[in-house]
Amino acid sequence: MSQQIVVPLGGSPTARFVTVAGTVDAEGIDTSHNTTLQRFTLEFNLSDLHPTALPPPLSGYSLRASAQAGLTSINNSDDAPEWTWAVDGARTIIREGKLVLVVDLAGQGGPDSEIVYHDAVLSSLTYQVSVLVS
Amino acid sequence: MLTITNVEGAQRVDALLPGTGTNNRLFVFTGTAIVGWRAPDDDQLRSDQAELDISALHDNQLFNPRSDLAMVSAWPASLHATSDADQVTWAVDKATGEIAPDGHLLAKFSLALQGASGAFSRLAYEVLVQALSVKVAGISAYPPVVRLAGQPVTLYVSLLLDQAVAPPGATIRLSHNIGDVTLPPEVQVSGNSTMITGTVGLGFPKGSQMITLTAANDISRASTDFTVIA
Repeated sequence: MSQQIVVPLGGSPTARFVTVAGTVDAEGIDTSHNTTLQRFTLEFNLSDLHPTALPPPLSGYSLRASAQAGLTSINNSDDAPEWTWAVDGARTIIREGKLVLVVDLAGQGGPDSEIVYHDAVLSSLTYQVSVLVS
Repeated sequence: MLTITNVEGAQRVDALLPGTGTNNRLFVFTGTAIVGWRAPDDDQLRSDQAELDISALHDNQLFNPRSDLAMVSAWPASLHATSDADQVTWAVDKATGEIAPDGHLLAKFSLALQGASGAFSRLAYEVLVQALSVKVAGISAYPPVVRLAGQPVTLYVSLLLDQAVAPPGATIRLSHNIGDVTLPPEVQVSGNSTMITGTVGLGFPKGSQMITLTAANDISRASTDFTVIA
């Protein structure tokens, strides 16, 4: 699921204030095989997820962005001695003209523990990114 | 009260919004606060408060407590637990925004934690502010050197705001650093204007000296100097 708000701004036909939000799968974040804290970095291409709000190429514009991400679903059993779930930070970068959300994660568990609950319906991370394009 | 030791990834976006009320500006502040709250070795549910000075973290941006609106949301970003606990809980029970009388935007959080050897390490936040105030972008005085010979002397003072004022206008306070100068205490910038220029009556001080003029409102100030040669 993704949502977006685009507010045209004065001064330039391309100037706009964009807020995009949604939930995305975080495949590969499985801590069930290691009881020590592990760190992961995931990237999500926001220009692909929101092609009408953040169409490439964005390289020629002045961009200011403010990003945040959060956990939406976690799962574990009590077989693990310790559990940790963390979004350490979220930021954006421009790569090949597209806006990319970069999320730093950490997880710790043990048998049957996942930072995310892999399911056909549920996703794992929620994000909200506001971008000033001018 | 919990102490937030640091904030990582503080980010900010702001945009002018067109249309009626051209003062309107939308601010978005995000970041991850390091809470570092560790649960005692029992399974008691505990609640506590935490506070963040958003203004201090984000370029010292100040707001007007009488006109600006803030909305705060927050959620747990880093959680830890062990199998020592019978019950575990992490919660952001409440998140609110308050603009202090000095203009600082404060985000206030009510948090809860439960579980032996557990921790509530990081808190993610997002703050939206609709600002209805304008900032004083600059002030200038002309001529920069006032010679008292050849009276009368006229001093022109110009104020520049960072955006147009919504009708009916805005009041800007004037002040100076010399005791025996008389100035109007404030000027009124009319609606839909970004600038005002006018003459001000000065009671000039004795002797030659440099005078600093300051224009200010609740969220900003700007100063300029001119010299009086008696």
